[in-house]
Amino acid sequence: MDRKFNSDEQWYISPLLNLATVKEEMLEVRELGEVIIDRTMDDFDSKTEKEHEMEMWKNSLSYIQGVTEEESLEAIEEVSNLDMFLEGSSDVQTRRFEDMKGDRKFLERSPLVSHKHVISREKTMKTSRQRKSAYVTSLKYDKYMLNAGANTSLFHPQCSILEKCEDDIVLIVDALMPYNRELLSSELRSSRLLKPMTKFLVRGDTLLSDLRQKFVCQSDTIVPLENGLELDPPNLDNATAVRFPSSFIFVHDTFYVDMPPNAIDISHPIRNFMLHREIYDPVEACSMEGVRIIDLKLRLGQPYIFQHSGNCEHLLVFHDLRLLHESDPWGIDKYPFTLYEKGNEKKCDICKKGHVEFVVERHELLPNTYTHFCRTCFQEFNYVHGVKTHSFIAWPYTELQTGEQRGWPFGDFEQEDD
Amino acid sequence: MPKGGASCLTPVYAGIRDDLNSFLRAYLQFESVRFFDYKVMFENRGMVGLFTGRHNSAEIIEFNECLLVHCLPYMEECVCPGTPRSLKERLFGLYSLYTFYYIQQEKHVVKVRMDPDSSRNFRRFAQFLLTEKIYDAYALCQKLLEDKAIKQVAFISIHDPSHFKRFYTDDKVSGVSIRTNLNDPLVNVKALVEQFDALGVIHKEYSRLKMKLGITSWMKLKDPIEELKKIIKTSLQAVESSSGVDEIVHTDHSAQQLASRGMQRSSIKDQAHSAALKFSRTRRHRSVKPVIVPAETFEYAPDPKKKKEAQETMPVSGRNGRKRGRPKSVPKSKVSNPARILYEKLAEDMISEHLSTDLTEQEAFTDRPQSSLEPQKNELFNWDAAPQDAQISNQTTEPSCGEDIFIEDFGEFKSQDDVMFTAEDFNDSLIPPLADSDSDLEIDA
Repeated sequence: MDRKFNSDEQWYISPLLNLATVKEEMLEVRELGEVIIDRTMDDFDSKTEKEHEMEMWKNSLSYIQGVTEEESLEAIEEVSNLDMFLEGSSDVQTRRFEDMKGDRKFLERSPLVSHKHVISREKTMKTSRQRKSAYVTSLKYDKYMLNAGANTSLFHPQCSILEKCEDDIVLIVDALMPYNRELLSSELRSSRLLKPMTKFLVRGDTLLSDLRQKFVCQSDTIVPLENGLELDPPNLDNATAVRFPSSFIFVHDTFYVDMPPNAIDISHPIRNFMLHREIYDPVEACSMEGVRIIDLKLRLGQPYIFQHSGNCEHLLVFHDLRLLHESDPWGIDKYPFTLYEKGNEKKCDICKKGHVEFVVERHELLPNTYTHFCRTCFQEFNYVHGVKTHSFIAWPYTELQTGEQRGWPFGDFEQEDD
Repeated sequence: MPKGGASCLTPVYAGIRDDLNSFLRAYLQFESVRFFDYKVMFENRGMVGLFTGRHNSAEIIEFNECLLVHCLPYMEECVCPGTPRSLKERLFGLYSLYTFYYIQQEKHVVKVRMDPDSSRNFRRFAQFLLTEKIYDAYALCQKLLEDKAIKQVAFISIHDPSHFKRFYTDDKVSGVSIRTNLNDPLVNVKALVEQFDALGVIHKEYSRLKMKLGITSWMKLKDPIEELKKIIKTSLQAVESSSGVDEIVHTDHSAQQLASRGMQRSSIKDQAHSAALKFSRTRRHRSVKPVIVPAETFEYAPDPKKKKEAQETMPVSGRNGRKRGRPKSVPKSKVSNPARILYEKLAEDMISEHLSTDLTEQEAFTDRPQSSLEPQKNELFNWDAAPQDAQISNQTTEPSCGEDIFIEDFGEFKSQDDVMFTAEDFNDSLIPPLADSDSDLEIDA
C-alpha cells in the first residue's frame, strides 16, 4: 500500500516506523537528561511543594564539581524570580481566561506582529459564519474539548516531581467517519472529508483487540423490525454486529483479523485480489489476539483500514507519537482513552423536540426518503389504536454513548490527586 | 489526501517568528548574557502580552505549543550547515523557552515538544554552559528538566492529515543550491583491488624463478601493485574536485510540485467556473447529400432546340440562310396569339415531314438535284404565306415586299446552272440535225 499511496513523497506521512525501536531511542534520550537531576528528598512531609522544588534545585547544582554554594544560590535567585511578569505573587496566579482575551485598544496599539494577525483573524471570522466554523475546525485541539468552556480545568500545570511514569509510548488513533455508501455531492467537498468519529489515546502496551472493542459505530446497531410490530422492542439477535461479527484492522502490510465466535476471515478475498496485482506489495494476515500496539510497524499520518459489520469501513490514522508523560492518565486499564467521540444526537423531524428513536424509509405520506421520528410522533402519526395505517419501513435509531467524553485526559490526574 | 487546499485563514502561529526575530535583534544589541538583563528587556518590549487576544481554549493551547516549539531552533548549534550560531543567540533561545513556559496561564499549560535531535542538542548545550560557567543558564536547564517540562515526541509535527492545512509557512525555501549525485566513478576499479593480490603473487613467483635461474635483469622490474596504487591515488585526487552536480532545491509547495500530483479539486473547480460556455448546435435531420429539386418547366421549352436542330440539318446555302432570317421574327408573334401558336406548330410538323421526304428524294434522285430544290422552295413559300394573312396583306401593300419576290425570281434565271442548262439545251437542239446526218453518212459509208 505504500507504493499505492506513494507514501515516501507525501509531506503528511512519516517514514516507516518500528515502534519498538522508536521507543528505545526516545527513552535513551530522556535518560541522558535525567542524569543531571537528583530527585532524592528528605523530610518530604514537612515542607511545601515550593520548598521541595527549591531544595532539589540547590542539591542538583551543588553536586556539580566546580560550583560553589554561593554561586548556585545566586543563580537560583536570579532565575527563579519571574514575579515581574505576573500579577500578584507567583504562589497565587490570578489570571483568568477572560483576562487573556485582552483589550481591543491594547491589541491595536501593540507593536507585536502577532497581535496584528489576531485582529485580522477576528475580522475574517466575523465576515461569515462559514469562516468561523472553518477556522475552528482548523485548530488542533478543537476535537478535544467540545464541551469545554471558560476556566475549564484542562491542564495540570505541574506534575509530581518525584513520581516516575512507566517507560512506554503513547499514540493518538483517529477513526474517521465511515465511507460505507456512495457519498453525495455535498459530502465530497474537501472540508467535509476526513472527519474524525473517535479519537483514542493508546499506549504501546495496549492490545489491538482492546482497541477494536472500543470502536463503537452506528452500523453495529442496525436491526430490522418486523412489519406491523415496529413498536415492540427490537430483537438484538438480528443486529448487524451479531449477524456479521467478522472484522479486521489493516496496518501497513498485515491484516489483523478479529476472530470472535461465528466469525470468518473476511480479509481472504482482499488478500487474494492483492496477490494478483503487481501494484500491491505482499501482505500477510494474522490474528488480532495478543498483538500490542508496540508490535506494529506503521507510518504516522497514513490511513489504514478498520472494516466491520459487513461493509462498514473506517480509516484509521495514527499520529502524535511520543513517550508517556507523568501528566498522562496513569494505569494501563484506562487505555485506550477516549479523547473525542462524535455524537449523533438528532431531534425529531416532526416535533423538533424528542430524541430520534426511529428512521422511517419510503413513507407513502412523506416527501422524504428517510425521516427521523421520536417515539411519540412515530406512534401518533403511523398507528391508530396500535394498528399500522400506512406503508413504510422503519428502523431503530441508536444514539452512541458519550459518557466517556471528558475532554483532555489530564482531568483524571486531578481526580487521582484528590 | 490532506484535508482541504490552501486556506485563506490566518494560522494560529502567525507572527510568532517575526516577534521573536525582532526581540532577538534587540537582545543582540545588548552587551550582556545575564538572565536578569533579559528579563528587563522582555518586560520593556511587552513580550508578556504575546498571550493575549485569544478567545478559544483550543486556540490558546495550540498557540502556546507553537510558541514553545518556535524557541527550540534558536538553541541549535548551527543555523544551517556551515553557519554556526553565536552563544548569545543560543542563550536567547533558552531564556525565551524558560520564560514563555513559566508565564503560561494556569489552566492552559502545555509541555515543550522535543524530538530526539532537539533533546540531544539541549543536553549538549547544557554541558557547554556548565563548562563555560554560565550558571544561571545552566540552572534554567535543570529547572526545566526537574519540572518535567519536556515531552519526548517522535516528530515535532503531528502527521495528522485531518488537521494539516497549507497556510503560509515560515519555512519556505526556494532556489537553494546543493551538491548531489556524489557517485564514485572509480567504483569498478576499486572492486578489482582483490585481483591485484594475484598480480603480486605472480610477480613474486616470476622474480623467484629468475633468481633461481641466475638472471639478474629482473631487478629492473617494477612492483605492479605499487604502480597500480599510485595510479588509483592520482586518479582519485583528480576526480574529487569534479564529482557531484549542483542542483536547485525548492521546499515550498509551489504550484509546479502540486501539478505533478494531478489536478486538485480546487483547481478543477476553478477551471469549471472560469471556463467559457461553448455554444454549438447541430441539425438532427440534416441529410448528407443535398436534395436537388427540379425547376418547373413548360412543354415548349425543348421545341426551340428541335427547331434549331432542324435548321442545322438543312444544307447550308444562301437560300437556306435567307429562310432562317424569317423564323427569327416569327417567335415574337407566337407569344401574342394562341391561334398563331397552334398554326405554327402545325407548320413545324409539316416542315418536319417535308424534310424527311426531301432527304429520301435526294437519295433517290441524285441526278436531278435542281428539280428537287425547286418544289421545296415553292412549298415553303406557300406554307409560310398561308397562315400569315396579315403579313401577305402587308406585303402586297408594301412595294419592298414585291421587290424581294422579284429579286428571287431573277436569282433563278441568273444562276450559272440555269445558264449552263440553257446553253446545253440550245446546243442539243442544233447538234441533233448534224448528228443525224453524220450517222446516216457513216452508215451509208
